[in-house]
Amino acid sequence: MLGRIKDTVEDVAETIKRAFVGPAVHSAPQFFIETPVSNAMLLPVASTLVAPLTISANISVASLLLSAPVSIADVQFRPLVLLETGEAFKANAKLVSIPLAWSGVVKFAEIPRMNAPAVRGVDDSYSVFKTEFYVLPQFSLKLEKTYKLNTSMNTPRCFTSVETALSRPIGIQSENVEKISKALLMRYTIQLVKETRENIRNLEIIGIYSIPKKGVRAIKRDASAGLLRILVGSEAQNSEYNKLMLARKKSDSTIVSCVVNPETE
Amino acid sequence: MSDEPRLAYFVAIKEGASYLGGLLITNSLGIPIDFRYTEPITPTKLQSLLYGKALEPHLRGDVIQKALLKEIKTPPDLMFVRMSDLAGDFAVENKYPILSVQRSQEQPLPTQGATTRISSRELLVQLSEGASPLRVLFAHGLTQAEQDSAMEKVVQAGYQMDLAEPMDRTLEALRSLIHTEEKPKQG
Repeated sequence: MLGRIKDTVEDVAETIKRAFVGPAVHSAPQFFIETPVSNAMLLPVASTLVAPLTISANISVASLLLSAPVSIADVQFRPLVLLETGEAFKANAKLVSIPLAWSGVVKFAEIPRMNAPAVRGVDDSYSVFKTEFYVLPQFSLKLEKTYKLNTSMNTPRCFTSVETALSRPIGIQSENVEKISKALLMRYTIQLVKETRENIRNLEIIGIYSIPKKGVRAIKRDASAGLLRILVGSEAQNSEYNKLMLARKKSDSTIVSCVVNPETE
Repeated sequence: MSDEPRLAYFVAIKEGASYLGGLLITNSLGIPIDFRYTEPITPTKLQSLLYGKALEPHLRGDVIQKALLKEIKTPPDLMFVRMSDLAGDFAVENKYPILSVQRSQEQPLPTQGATTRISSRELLVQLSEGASPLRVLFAHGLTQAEQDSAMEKVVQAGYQMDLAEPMDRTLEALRSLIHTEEKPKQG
């Protein structure tokens, strides 16, 4: 009996206790942070998320007054992207959505792994690195014209100047005395003796030379060459010839000469 | 006089960078009948490069000699050139024999007019009594018969004149033209 009374009293006490207990206070989840915005909460859902998310929550006052614990399922989240300052999109990052434990969605920026660099073709936009062969017009190696150079020698002009040739002494060679017949040689010798009035035994025949009858300007004996040097004019070209006999006097070695004629006795 | 053999003496010389030639025609005594000479020819640098060693023989034989011979109305019986010209491939005119003569240092041959053959185109000929024989060299391309025929003329002319002497005269005359300001008359 006493036990039943005790239980009854405890029930009453409990009832009174509950009747006068204040509304239930629940600590908010750690991830709720007050923001300047009323009734708005900032949710740092992930360190990789660059853009902060402000999530507003509607919490009914009635539920807070209830003694019953507030279920987290009652919290209504409305994800809202307020700002995206990162450069993720430049790095080919893509935003991925990951559902949270409660109703709502958090977006993550997923940065792709480093892939092997793409091999670009030569005709892509990086033409600055392309090597191409340009020939400037002024340095063109094309031969547009070919030239033919005449390498043959031109025929030189010719001049005539017999006077030049005649101005040089002409070397006259003696006839071969031994080839002359004895009779003819005797005839020549007699003419020489007559003209020089020398004793035939005192004369030594040097030679018999054919010289032009006309145009002879000078006569000189060249003993070293065995020639008679004569200087002639142009008249000598078509002139007939005389035979000039030269002899040396044995007595004084002087030279005597005589024009001899084969016809003359 | 018209039956006399006509002897031609051709000389081409180099004076500085230019070449010029002279041609002396004499009678059988060596008296000048005609003398022609060319204006100096100066080959260009390109021609010198292109012709190389063939330049000088070409100028002497094909250019100067031909130009001078064109001017001669009556062809010579013998044409004498310098010995050095025959050492190369000197152009041979078939109209008349080309040869060179030079006084030798050999012992005289027994008789005047005697010849001794040294090679296929070279002979010694005794033209004057007691003197050293004359060395005669024929140009390439002359047959034995042509050489013999030419030797008869050589001996005939050599009895009356020194065949080597007019060559010196031609050279002197040509050199004198270079250094004188004689106004030439074109022939």
